[in-house]
Amino acid sequence: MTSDPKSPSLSLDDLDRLRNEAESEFSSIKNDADAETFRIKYLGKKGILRELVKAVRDIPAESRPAFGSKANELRVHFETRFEEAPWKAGAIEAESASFDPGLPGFPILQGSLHPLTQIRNQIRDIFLSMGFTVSYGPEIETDYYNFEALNTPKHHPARDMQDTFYITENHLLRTHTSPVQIRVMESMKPPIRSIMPGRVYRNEEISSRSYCLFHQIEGLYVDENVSFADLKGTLLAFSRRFFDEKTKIKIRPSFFPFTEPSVEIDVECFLCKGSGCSLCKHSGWLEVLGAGMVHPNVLRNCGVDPEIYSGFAFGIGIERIALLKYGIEDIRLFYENDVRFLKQF
Amino acid sequence: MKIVYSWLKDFVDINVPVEELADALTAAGLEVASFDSYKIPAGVIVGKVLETEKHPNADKLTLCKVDSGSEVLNIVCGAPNVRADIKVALATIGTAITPDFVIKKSKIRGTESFGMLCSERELGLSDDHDGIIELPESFRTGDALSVYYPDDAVIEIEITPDRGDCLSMIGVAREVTARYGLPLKNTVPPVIESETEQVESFINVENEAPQQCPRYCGKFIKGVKIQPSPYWMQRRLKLAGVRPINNVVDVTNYILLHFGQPMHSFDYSRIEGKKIVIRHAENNQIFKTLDDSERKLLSSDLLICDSAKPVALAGIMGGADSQILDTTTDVFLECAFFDPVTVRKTSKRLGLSTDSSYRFERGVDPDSGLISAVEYAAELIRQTAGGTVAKGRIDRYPSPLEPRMITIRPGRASKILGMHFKGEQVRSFLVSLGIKCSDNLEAIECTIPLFRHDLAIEEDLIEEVGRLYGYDNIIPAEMASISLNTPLPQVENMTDTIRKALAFSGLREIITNSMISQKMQQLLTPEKKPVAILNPLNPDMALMQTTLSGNMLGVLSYNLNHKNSNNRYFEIGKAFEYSSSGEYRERTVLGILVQGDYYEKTWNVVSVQSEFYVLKGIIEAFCVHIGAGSLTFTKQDTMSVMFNCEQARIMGENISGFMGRVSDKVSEAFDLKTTVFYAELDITDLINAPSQLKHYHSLPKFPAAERDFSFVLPDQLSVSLISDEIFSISPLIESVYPFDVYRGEKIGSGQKSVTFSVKIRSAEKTLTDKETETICSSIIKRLQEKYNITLRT
Ligand SMILES: [Zn+2]
Repeated sequence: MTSDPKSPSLSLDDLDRLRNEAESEFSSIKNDADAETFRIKYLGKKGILRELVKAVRDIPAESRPAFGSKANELRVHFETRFEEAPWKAGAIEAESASFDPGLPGFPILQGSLHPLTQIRNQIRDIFLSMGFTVSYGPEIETDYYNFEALNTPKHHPARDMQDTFYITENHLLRTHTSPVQIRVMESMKPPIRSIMPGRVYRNEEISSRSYCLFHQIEGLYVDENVSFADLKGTLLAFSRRFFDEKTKIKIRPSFFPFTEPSVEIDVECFLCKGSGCSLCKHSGWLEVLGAGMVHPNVLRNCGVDPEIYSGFAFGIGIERIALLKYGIEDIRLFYENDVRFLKQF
Repeated sequence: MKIVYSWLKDFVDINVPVEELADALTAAGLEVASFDSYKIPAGVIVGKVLETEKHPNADKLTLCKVDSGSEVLNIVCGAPNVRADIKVALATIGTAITPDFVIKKSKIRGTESFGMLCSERELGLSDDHDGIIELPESFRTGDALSVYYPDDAVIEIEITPDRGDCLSMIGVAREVTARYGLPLKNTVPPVIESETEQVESFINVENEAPQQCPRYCGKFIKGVKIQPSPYWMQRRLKLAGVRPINNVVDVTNYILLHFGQPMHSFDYSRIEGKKIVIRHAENNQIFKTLDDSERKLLSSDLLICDSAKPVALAGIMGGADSQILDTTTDVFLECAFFDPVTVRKTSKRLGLSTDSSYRFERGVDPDSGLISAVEYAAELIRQTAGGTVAKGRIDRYPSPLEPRMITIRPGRASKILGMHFKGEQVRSFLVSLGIKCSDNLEAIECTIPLFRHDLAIEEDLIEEVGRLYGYDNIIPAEMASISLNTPLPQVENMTDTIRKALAFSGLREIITNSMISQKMQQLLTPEKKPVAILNPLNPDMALMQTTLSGNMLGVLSYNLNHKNSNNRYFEIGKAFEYSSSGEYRERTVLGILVQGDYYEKTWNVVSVQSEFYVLKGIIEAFCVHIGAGSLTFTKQDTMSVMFNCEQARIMGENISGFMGRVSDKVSEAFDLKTTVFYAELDITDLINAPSQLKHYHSLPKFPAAERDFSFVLPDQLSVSLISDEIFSISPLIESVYPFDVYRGEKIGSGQKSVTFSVKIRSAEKTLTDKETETICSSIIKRLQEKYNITLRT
């Protein structure tokens, strides 16, 4: 299309088109030379906008006043804008030369949450969305809550599973978050759905694979008719939301004194999707959860009738999950808190 | 527990690849940690060394002539034990010991060698690499060695504490039979005994502690010859990780692995008075166990004694004075059932855990398993060490243990497992485990074999059903009904907000140990009574921390040593102490630590040091975020060890704490050569308080008047006190902010000039100049009257 104003077929639409063209050229002015080119083309004596006025003659009489006033408006609009334009000779070039968006931005301070907190909260939020609440218990526990009430009598070999720090003969640093199960069941009646995050202690030599303390999230669901199928459904849903929506799980029989049946739940390796890699030691599976149906003795110890109620409990090691998820090779990195490590999360 | 595949086959005809067997065991709850295959490489044969001479060019090498059955080969060997007339494992030319190590004809120090004589380690028989294998004379020269040592596999299983019955080949075999629906082969060859000599004529057993030793059996073998046990037994023991000692001791170890029944063999000649007495020790009695350690005993410990002295610590370890020697000719074999708790208490206290105590603690089979064990052991000793087994056996079993009866309701099993099981199905699973079941399919009455100490209640049987059915076959639930009244996790919301506010202030969250050394605790909080750990891992972790500062300063020290400068951290953790009434006090505290630059200098920013008021600002900011109300910061007159003079006590509605500049003494203790500011706040009440509703005030409709006042204050007068005073003068005063502080010659020492910006506003109208001036005058008058301070002139 041409915007030659001498063309006999000029209309109001042509004026709109002309305006758009002029706007676009105006906005791409970068320096004095560009400005001069624009001025000559549109606003000069022989400029397009001046010539428009002459073109009014060729317009049919009935549309002549509307065309005339719009053409004039257009000319005034660009003359004003040209006059008000912020550039003066050389100013744009100078400013543009000194401006460098590649320089660093203002150093807004950046903090971070510890990776263990982040993993803990991700796990917590999944269970919150499933209707679980959160409960807590002390880290200095009694032998009763940590062992006896959990169906682990004093001279049972199951005590060997957890090397314990003692404060006195009857007080100790809790070796798991399971005692909170007892405290929760003592303080409320079923239905109970709660997770219990917290720090636990083990008297084990410190190495790349174990530290003298770590963090767990315990879970408990007690109600009428809670079954192993519920346990499996809940933990499958958790695994899929935490790892991958297609994650598979595998369940192995195991032993914990306070659950019967007791199981270990392996989750399909999220890195290799089960085909085997170094993370999963080429098994395709990762050990992440211990779980089971709450032992009737534990229910009874809390005044809950096992003939009416049943429940499941599970425990997740937060460090274990974080090690796996981020591919961290040494558990001590979590407690060393090297800033170069923390910055990565 | 190491399971030898060929040994397992003594009990069950299983013939699947080891990988498959390992998976099946794991699926049954016997978690396989690892497995290995053992295979003698083709080409390794039985050779006989005919003659040897020293290598002419090397001291440690021997030139051997070895009969391979078809020819005599010259072989150079470096083993110290090589000599004429022994039978050896000969790797012939072409044998691949490993894929990368193939035997070739070679020249060693100028002498040609046509093969290699192997050590046990080279053939994967054991870790022994001290010399070459010396094979039994009965092996035929020229035979492939694999004829005598067939291919085998070892599976290492981690047995959970409840499954003591699986600490043996027969126990694992039982699981295999249940899994594969195969019969258990459990036949013990009859023991050949003397026709005339009765066991009771050699030994008399008195049991003074039938509670702690419900059953005590024994056999007597006369005229044995102590020597190495047969190669097949040694091979099995080695594969199972047990070092062979001699034929009698090896038999007891063999039986322990075979049946899971610990046994002990005594040198009969050293049992005084032909008598065994089972009784409790005396307090502080000393007993020397066969590892030559003197053990101090308590009256709760159980001893096996002869007529004069103790000869064994029951179920744990024998005594040094009665063990089998090379000269032993007559053997008394003990096979008993000791009370698990008694054994465990003694073993734990003495820190003495043995294969025997490990099994007794978990419970052995007091019934037919025990009898099979003692009878088979006697027969094996007779076969391997010769001698005559006396007729009959000692058996002291005053009150035989009754098998447990448990009723399982298939309906209940279905309810717990969330999957319908038919009565017949439940019954057949249990029968496959050797449990006798009644025919009532609504409530199946089960007779539990005495070796299954883990089966005590109905749920235990339900687990067996679930385990054998396979948990992977249970269909997961897809729906759950949840309570609509689940309480909100208030503490979580509060701590999330605090963490995020602090992270947005540029702080990094750290997580540190809760334990600390006594030295650090004393340095940092000498006023507190710490909680000590009875059995700390090391002295650096002797106490529970009374403050987070110790471990946080440790992290700072670590980071500075790793050239990470300008550190800003926070941690939410627990501080522990004894309350005045002696209770454990466990509080949730927030520690904040800043060091170096808060803002580092960049191309367009001047640096801002992390100092007292930066830390104060961080604290005020997060308190605003969580709606904690305002805080007061009071100067502390009494100096603490932790801080120097710049320190303050912090008080708020549900929060309290302290902050300040860390003292030189503390900095030195952590080897810090930099200025550090630290704050610690007890946030226990804050995070547990119900969340505060934020109050809305309608926006002002009339303009405010702003006036600045510069007052000269003595240094000891706190600016916040004067601000509060001004604020209280009129309800029309909207805000007071001390925006400038000046000290200098013009003011005079001990004084400061503070400029307060005061905003005055009415909610009803625009104030006239006169009304504003009245308020201004009363501010000046009040401060003059109350504090004797005046405007700066
Ligand atoms: Zn993988």
